[in-house]
Amino acid sequence: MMKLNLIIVSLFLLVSIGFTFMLTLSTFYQSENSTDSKFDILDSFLSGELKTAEEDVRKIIQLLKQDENIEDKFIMTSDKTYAYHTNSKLIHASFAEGSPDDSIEDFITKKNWSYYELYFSAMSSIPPHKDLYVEQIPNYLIYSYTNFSDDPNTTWYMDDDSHIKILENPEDPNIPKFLNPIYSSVFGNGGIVVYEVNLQD
Amino acid sequence: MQDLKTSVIKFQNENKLPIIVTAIFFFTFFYVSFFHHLTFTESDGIFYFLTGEQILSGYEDNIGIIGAPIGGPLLHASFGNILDDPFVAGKIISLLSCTGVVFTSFFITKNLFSRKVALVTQLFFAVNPKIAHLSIMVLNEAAPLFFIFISLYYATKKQKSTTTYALVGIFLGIAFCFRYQSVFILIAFLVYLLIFERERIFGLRNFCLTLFPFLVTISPLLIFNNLILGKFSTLSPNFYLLDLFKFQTESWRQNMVNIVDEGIFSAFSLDPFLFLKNYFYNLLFHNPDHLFKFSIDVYDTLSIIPLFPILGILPAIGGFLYITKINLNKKQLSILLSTFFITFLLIGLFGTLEYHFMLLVIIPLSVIGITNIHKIPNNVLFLLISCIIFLIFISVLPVYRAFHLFPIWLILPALSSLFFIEGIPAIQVKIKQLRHFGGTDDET
Repeated sequence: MMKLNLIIVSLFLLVSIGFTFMLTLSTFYQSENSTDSKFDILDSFLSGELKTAEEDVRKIIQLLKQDENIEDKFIMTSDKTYAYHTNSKLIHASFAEGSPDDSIEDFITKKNWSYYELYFSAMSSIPPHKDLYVEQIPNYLIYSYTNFSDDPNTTWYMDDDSHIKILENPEDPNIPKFLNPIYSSVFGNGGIVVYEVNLQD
Repeated sequence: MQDLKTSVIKFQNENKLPIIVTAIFFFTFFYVSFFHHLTFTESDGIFYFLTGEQILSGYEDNIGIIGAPIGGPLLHASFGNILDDPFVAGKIISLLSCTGVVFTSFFITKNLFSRKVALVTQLFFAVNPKIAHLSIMVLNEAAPLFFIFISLYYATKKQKSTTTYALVGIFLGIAFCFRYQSVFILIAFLVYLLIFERERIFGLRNFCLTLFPFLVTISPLLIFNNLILGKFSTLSPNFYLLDLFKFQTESWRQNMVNIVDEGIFSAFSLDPFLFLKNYFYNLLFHNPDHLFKFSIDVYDTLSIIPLFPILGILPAIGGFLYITKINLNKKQLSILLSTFFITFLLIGLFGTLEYHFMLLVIIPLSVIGITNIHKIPNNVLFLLISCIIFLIFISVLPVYRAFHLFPIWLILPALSSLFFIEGIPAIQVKIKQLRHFGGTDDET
């Protein structure tokens, strides 16, 4: 009775420590098996079936570096990591741009991107630029996805009915021929696919 | 030299526990940061480093920095170049800044309450998942937060000198060079000075003593922005409004696209009703949601009970009621109930219960706070005012991540700790007394 406050504080701190541990673990490690549970990382930790979340990134960087001319090439993706580590150029895309009826080619060529989408992409690219209508065809396209959708209460929540979603599966017969999948990986709550883009041919 | 050594030893002896907590925090996250996070994968960190590189190389014309000033990019690029490794530089900045936040959280709370309460508050900081996240990841959040916390330390001091006011302004000015939102803390402090410390000072002396150092500190930033970028601020809030406003119409989007580079007033005048609808959604639902998470996604919250975040509101309210020394007599109860029902009625008439229910908590508590304002210590009042003013301004936008609310978060774990350390024993004593009197009545 006398030390009730100490017991409560200790409980609160222990719960926080456990939660922080789990969150930190899930930031740097992933479950080997695909699952919908956010807390699956703990099961995987206990069973020793964890892989580092940075493994795919390192493999993709190594793969891209095999291209001798990578420093002159464009990578279309939402993540700055690959262009930064390979000294290549980034065409920033969040994969929500354009019209829902766009084909993959329309998307890659930014055919129906709005002024705002072009502006944001130009500003977030590497190097950033102000020429919104400059023609830049990517040499590589890196598409990462997650099976977790945003909290519906957040203002950036969208029902994911993206026309680009077929890129998740590199074996989908609807993937156009100019996209050549060179790397794909599925992990606990999502995956990543790298395509070589041969649109110039 | 001998005096300094003596002072350091005295400080160490007096603050052993907070130093130990800080050291454990530092070494734990040093280990995680340098042994488990081995590849620079933070897009934000890369963006700030590359932007800084462009500025340092003189290619600032094309920089597209719309949400922050150039202080972060310059720090990341300069330190990154010195170490020849921007990733390690970024990790050092994050780790040291968050260690500083954990350390200062003790001393800020000690300005408000007892040492025990301060220690528990510091522990809540040290085990918070979002502080852990910020200390490991290379982002532009930890450094400004640290400078805001130093300013909060000086702002909450009971005895303030001329230097104290100047230091509040200087550290908020430094934080402003990294993140614009530190200006909301400055506004809160100036409002507090004008309302609550006015009788103790002559006119606007302390107001000016804080404001001028702030302006002097941020003047290089403003001069750079104006001379090189052609505008005083790099902030483009309309970008965020277009991207993040919950309630939008097709025509509003089409018009907004044309004014993304303009100020917030043009966005307001485009459709004031829609703007206000979004604003009140952000103010009363979306942004407080990051503090206590009313929805099921428990990941992004600052609650001291992250597994059941909504429960974190209870000890904070308990601490608030304890500090107002509320005596639940007929008068106070009728105030609470009448404000509750009037608010309920107003929400029914003008709002939506789903999004505006927080008013049912905020309004009665505010009325209780105002009626008992003389019982609340001044420095606690300042933090409460900061909370309100920060949320009023920041809610023009829905904050993207919970850690953006850290500048105002301290009062919540501090009040919760107060409730645990002093409130619960006080309740236990009351219960004992009631039992005792009950027993005595029975015997007679």
